[in-house]
Amino acid sequence: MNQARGESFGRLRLVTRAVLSAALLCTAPVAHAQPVPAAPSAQPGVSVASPAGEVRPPEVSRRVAAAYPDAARAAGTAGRVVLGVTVDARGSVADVEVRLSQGPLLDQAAIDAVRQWQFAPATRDGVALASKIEVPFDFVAAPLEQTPKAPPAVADPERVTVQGHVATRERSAGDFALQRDLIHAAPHHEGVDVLRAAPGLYIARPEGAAVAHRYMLRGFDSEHGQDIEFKVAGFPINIPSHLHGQGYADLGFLIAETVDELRVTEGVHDPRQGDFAVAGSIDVRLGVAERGISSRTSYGSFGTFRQLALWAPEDGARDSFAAFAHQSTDGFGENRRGAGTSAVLQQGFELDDWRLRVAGIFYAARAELAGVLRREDVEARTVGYYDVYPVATAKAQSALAGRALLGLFADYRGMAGESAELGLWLGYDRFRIQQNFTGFLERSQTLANVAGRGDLIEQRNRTFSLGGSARYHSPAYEPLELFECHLELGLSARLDEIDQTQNLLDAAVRSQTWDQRVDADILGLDLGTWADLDMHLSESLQLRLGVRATALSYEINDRLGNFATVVRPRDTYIVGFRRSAAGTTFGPRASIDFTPWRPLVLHASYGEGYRSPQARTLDEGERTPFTKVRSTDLGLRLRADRAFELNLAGYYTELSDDVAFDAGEGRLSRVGATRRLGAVLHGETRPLPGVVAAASVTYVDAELIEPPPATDEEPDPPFRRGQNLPYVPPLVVRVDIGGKTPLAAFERWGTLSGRAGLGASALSARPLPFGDFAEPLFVLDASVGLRLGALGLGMDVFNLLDAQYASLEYSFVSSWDPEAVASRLPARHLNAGAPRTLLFTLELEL
Amino acid sequence: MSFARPFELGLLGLFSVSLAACLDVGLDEVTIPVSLAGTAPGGPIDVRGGFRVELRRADLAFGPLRLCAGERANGLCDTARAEWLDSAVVDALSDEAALAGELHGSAGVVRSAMYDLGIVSLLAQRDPLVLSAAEALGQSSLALEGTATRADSSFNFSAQLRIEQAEDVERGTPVVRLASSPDQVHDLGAPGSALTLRFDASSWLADVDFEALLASPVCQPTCTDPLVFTAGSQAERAIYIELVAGARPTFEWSAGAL
Repeated sequence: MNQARGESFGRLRLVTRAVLSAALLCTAPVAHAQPVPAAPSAQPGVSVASPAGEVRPPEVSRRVAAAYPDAARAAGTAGRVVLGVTVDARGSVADVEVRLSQGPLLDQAAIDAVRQWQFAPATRDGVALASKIEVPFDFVAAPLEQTPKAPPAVADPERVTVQGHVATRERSAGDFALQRDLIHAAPHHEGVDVLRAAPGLYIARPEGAAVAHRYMLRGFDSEHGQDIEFKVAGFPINIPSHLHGQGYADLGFLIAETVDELRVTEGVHDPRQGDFAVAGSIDVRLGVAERGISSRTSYGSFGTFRQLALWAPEDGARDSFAAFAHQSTDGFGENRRGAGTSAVLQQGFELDDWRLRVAGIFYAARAELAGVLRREDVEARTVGYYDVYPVATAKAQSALAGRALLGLFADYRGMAGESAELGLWLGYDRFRIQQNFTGFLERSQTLANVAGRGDLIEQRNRTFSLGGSARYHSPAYEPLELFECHLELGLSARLDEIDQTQNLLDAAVRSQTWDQRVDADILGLDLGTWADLDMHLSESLQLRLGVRATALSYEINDRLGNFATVVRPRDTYIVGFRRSAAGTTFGPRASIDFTPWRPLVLHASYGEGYRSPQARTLDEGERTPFTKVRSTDLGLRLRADRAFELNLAGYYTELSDDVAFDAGEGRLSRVGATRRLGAVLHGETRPLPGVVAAASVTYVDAELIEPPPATDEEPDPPFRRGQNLPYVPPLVVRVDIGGKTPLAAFERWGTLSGRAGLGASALSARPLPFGDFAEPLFVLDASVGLRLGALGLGMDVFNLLDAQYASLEYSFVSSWDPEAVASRLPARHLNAGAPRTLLFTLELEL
Repeated sequence: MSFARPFELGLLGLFSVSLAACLDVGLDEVTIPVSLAGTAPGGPIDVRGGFRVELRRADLAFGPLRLCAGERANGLCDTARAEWLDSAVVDALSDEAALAGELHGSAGVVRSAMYDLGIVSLLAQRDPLVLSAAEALGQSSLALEGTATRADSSFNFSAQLRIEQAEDVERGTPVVRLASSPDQVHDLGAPGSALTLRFDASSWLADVDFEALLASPVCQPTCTDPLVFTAGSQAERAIYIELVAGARPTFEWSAGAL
């Protein structure tokens, strides 16, 4: 039955695939009763007349799903295993033989499963007798199901599809596949909290809801996403040339309950990694394990309310669900009220040999922002730690965010190891913020001698994006019969139309605009292509050589261009500067794995990646100065299936031109070349059923190696050679522990189970500009819950120890009292982290 | 840091100790005493037109003061290395230094300075802010009294100058921005650093045209007593220019001069 399906997608198949399909057709998932002279062609359970009498094939009465072995997933092994199963006259499995192998791991997984099956035995004229049937197990890389449930015992029962995402094999010791149990071990205040389990990643939301988080990953202050390539459900999330930060990645739309797996690639080693993969990339895969309809209502401190509605059709695959979440809060202090709504819909379905997935993400949020406080004012109790300055510009801070993503993704896995993926997506993002960082130290660039009426910066950015990607991974072939290898070719493309403005507003006069800083629209095109050769040189040695090339082109209509360089009277020219720029970048990606002893893998990898430029800063004809990153990793991985895993990676990374946050402008400015030398230690264990624990320690020495020289305008730049990179914590520690266990069983009500979780983050003191340092921080979150049948109750406590901490600190000049002499000394400023927050949750599962 | 609980303190302590070897935490903050002094005139001052002037009062409101790392503070020195945001009256006729306050900032080299004379232009306000020193001088930056003498004549004079930023200059700009000079260059991190700013009142009168004053109606047939330098007069403008752009105080560092 697969043949016809195969034909419809014949263009992507190789001959081997066709041959194998044809062979499999002969052993189609139809039971063959023995001793039956002819193979019955009817569906199982249907009587077949034969010369020897009426024959009924065996019927499955108890089915146990096969588990997709982690090692096989990690190794990218997939395909169909066909077993010849002898069923005795009592319906038990008497013997099993492998008729189509996919290697020992998958073969054994299938055998282990089928040995637990029970059958109603085959009969002839009502008399039970032994029989032999063929049972194919398809280990398919369709999204998600690591430990599959037994499929429903209806229709085509002998064809068993074991869904499981075949993870791309680790390319470095900094590659982490974080499973659902781990990423959901600690409590989640918002969807993005699932990322906290990623080793070395620190996430803060200092500005407030409706603004993207700040991400820091192994020595990179990735700001709002400039150094981490984020993908969610196949959608690229970073927005190029976003006014509020290059690669702006607002993950506020994430609904934690729908996040199934994280693939965290630290460093740049994989040719699939594209723009913004500088510190690494994070791929968020969505899926819902528990099927049915569920509702979660949470209420807690500071008027925080959350309602989740989740529908995962019983008969749907793990990747099919619809989720809706609304969250609102009065905020833990002044000017922190906010609300946001997300809807995530995803439906997967089979079309011939392809797994198709339609996905949509919709998000809208608005929040009041409290802004920054001078630490000395807090210490002098001039302003409360969770308050806002009592001035109009401070109180007028707010943000608005909205995003819609729609996509169609197709995934094909062939029986001979070949695979293909296609994706098409559309995106729309809007963002607006009114923000005040420096009090009253701004001067108008547009209006002469106008200054000091407040520096409420308004930024507005709208992006319409269209993109797609395609990838083909060849079946294994053996050049000169020396070794086995696969070749992968890929392509990605995106088109972005960006409209952005930045103004200064006077909050006291109905947000009157008194200065214009940016007014531009940008058309950007990003075309990337890669090739990757995966060579299995021996049982213990694997070499991967890849290359990625990217072409970018921009058309910029800078409506304020040339204004600042007036060389003729203002009334003799029209302000504006239209320009275009294009360029290409090229970088190798290579890695080698050596397995001296089965649980231990040694990794070495090198890669060159890039970050695209802020288009508006490009000059006419400029060859798009990519920020180039060179990343080297050495490390080891010790893994005992799911029970224990330990990773140790050392890395060295150089960045050709880094950026750091400029509080004065509320955006990033260049700080020159930088380098990072660091190490990541990550351990993960599942010592007991239902219990998972993980810990990671990341240390980095990150410093400026070529800061911009002093100029007349900036005679004492805030950045010096050899200085530790501002905002980057040298040490990041994260612990996640979670457990679930049945407590009691009630005949009437079902099982009572309990859960507990803990998440702890610690950061060392962080360097700041002007030689200052931010305080270290330690935050502990915990949760407990009980579930009885369909009903669950939970309590999450965030910042359990009620630490008064700053989620971020800065150092810059500010003045918040318009009637006092303004200090021009850089001062430490902070965004308050949330105090202890309790959330009570009522869960209902139908 | 506001952690209150022993458990937290313990954890943080452990965490910090483990880092101690790795990281030099903290900014080198400095506090440097700043004193103001004048220059005792050894006798009458010789000025234009053959006049000799004897000053009886030369009180100057001084402050705030900002020291900058750059060569030229005329770039506005948006970020200062050290500052003293108060004001004090300096008796420019006394060479005894009087402690005015303390400069606060961070260690590092300073090369230039900018300051106001008791009246500060604010970015966010139309009217300048009059600090206590200028208040004490009757909302003025300078109070000057003396006698000008030439062989054939002698008259008393006085001046009350209000020195504030001009209307056409961007608000928030200090009135005096000094380019670097060797005496300003100093490493604030040098132990025992102290700054004395010494003013020379004689230089303020260098361009006052006393002869023209003598010929003006206010001195016909004899000068009013005292002859007041009115706002907008040549004498007032000459002193203003000297204070803002000409005469400059001497920076005397007690230690660590480069």
